[in-house]
Amino acid sequence: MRFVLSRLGHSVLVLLLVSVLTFALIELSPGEFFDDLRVDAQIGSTTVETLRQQSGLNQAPLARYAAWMQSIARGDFGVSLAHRAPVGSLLWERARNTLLLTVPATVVCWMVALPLGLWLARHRGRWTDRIFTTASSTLVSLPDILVALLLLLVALRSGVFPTGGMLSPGAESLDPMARMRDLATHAFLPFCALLLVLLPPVIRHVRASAIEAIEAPAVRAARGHGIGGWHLTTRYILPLSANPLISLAGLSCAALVSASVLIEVVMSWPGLGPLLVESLLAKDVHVVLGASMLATMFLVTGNLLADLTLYAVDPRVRS
Amino acid sequence: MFICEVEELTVRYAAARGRRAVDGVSFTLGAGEILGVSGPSGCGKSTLALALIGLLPREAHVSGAIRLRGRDLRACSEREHAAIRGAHVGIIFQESALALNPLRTVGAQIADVAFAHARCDRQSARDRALATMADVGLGGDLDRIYDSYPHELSGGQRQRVLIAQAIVNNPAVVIADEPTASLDAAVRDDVLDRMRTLSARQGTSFILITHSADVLASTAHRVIDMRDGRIVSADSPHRVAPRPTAAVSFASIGASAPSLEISGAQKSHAQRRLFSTQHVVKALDGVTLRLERGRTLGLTGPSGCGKSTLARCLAGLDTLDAGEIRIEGHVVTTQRRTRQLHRNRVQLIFQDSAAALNPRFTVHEAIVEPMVVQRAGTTAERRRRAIELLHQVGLPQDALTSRPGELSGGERQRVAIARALATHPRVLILDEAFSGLDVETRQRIIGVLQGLQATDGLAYLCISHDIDLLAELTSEIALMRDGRIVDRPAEAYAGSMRVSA
Repeated sequence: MRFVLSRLGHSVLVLLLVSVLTFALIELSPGEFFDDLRVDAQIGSTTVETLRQQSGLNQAPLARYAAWMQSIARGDFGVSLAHRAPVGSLLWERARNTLLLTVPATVVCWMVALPLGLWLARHRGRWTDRIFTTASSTLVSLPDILVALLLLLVALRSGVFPTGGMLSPGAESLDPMARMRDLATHAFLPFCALLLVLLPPVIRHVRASAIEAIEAPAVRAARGHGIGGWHLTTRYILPLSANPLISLAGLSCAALVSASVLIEVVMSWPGLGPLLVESLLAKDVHVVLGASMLATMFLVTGNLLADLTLYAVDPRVRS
Repeated sequence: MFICEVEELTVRYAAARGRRAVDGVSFTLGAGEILGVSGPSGCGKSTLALALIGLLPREAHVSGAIRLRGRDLRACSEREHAAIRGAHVGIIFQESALALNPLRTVGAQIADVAFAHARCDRQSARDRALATMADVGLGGDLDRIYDSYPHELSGGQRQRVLIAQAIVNNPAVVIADEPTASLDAAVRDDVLDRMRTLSARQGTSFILITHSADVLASTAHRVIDMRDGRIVSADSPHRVAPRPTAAVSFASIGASAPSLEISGAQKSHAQRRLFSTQHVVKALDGVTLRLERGRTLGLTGPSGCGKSTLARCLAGLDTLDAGEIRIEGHVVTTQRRTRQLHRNRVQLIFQDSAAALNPRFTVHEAIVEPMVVQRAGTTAERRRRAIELLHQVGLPQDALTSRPGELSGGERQRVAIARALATHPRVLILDEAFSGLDVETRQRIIGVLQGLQATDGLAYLCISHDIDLLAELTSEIALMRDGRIVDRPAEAYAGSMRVSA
């Protein structure tokens, strides 16, 4: 219990530091939100100045950061200048879309990677292992954007799957079942792209730590006692290889919000990714802050969950 | 009819430029026979054991024949071989800290072996495991030990778990690789006695790999002596002339500025589970000891008495619940600055050297690491010191580039000692540091340590269950039991004192 509390305190500190850093980075980079208006000859400089005053941009950076902290304490994430909407609801909608894509992808990724990695490790050096290892290193070294573009090309040529968006135009009028189907066909391509990006490194990690476990004296001793097959895999090899994988799974929670940025942008999925890119370019401070806070929160929660799992799984950690 | 026949067995590793780890070894093993295999570390004993159960790494080239009841094991498929291992051939591995799965309770690991071969349910596998645990002398609260994880047991208890795993299915042949290296004298005799009983009553044959002349003399019917992978002599065990043992006295209280002073040390361990804390074990219960400069203090006691806990606390790896430790008059605290100083003054040499050395470091890196941490000397000076240290512990200079995995258990232990000496410590704690070494190597290292003691005034706290060994090193021996220093040796110890070569 004390462990959990200390970790929670630690997490709050991390969040605070990330917010300071994000804020400082945005402040230090040149330009601000209303710069586009300044170049526009039709808009007078007084209008721009009034707009700046209304949104509080004329205040000193420190005062603005303090104001933002105060509103965070009230549970208000500030207002998006570009969308003219509260950041909270904006982020929530986009985050939901992103999670709709990344949670299934991550779950499927681990469900495939664990058995496959273990199987490859147990059959190390055979031709199946070689083929998978070669394929996964090819995928690892392939840039994510290329994977996404290749899938888009396939979709375009075949015409089976839509190449962008989350719902077809007019989908709101459809009945719930048809809407679900429409959502699924739209999600399929980004989901595949994400899976192809997430899967290879996870498989390689599982395979590598399983091989290390297989070579451990404890597993050799168990084999010496004639313990083999399923029992050896689930009770000896898997537990012994689990520790680094649990940490990796914790880290992959952070990827839930950040890994899909590129794929969402390329496949125009209305998730956090495109929002973050737009807001960064437009210097929409509160949105960027909110989004990075969210990503950090996922990372911190993931790590906390991983530590708790380790505590539950490994008796050596407990003492 | 022989139970097991080995003919011209040769094992080569491609990596070692075709050097033969085992070179044309032939022997036979009758029913109920205990065959001793002796030889210095690195002579191929352990490779022989792995070859017999077919667990050599894939890159090893094996030739020759191994027949079990007339069936050629080398012709068996992996599946057939797995059915034989653990059922017909049991094996007791050497380093108990590594041979057990740290994430599974020891009882379940014994039951696993029964479950893998006998077609029984988990409950009867559990019953058989508990019965076998009682057989190997895991006394006390059996259910609690069954549900303990390996790290919650002492070295001796773990070793008995390994023995239980080997014999739970009543195999025809048991290969025992140093089965008694980490057992105290009383339990060692008990285990050897059980081996003799098993061989006499049930006809179980043993291949007993050890460098202990005592164990061979008391237990083996026949001994083969190996050197560089070959059998150099095969005959009945060497009878060793009795050597008068040194008089055993107790921790004497000396005069001024002792190297090490412990007073009222207390330490408890708790077995923790996810939601509860069960069983608090008092590992140290008011220990008071004193070690004078340039002297050697022996510390002995049955397994689980708190010897290793005391060693860990002294080396600053663990903190006391109550009590005080003084090193050369300075109180050891948990403050970071003084703790660093303290660590340089006290060095600990562990029981399991393979577990203590980083497998990815070369010998050179392992030895210079403490000097690098201390920023002592230039690279060239460190290298010279490393060579000097290797020389002191009797290893050749070209061992510098080896990694722990390429060395034998005895060689690794020597590297660990060289590494400990690198920081010029004042006190050296030797926690069963000699239990993996053959007699020759042990004598050589004892010589080195005694030399250092004479020139630098080093003090040694030597922890071992082997009272003969301690008697060889010092006349001051303290006996520990249940976390306390007992003021006189128990009868069992005095009675079981035997001579070593």
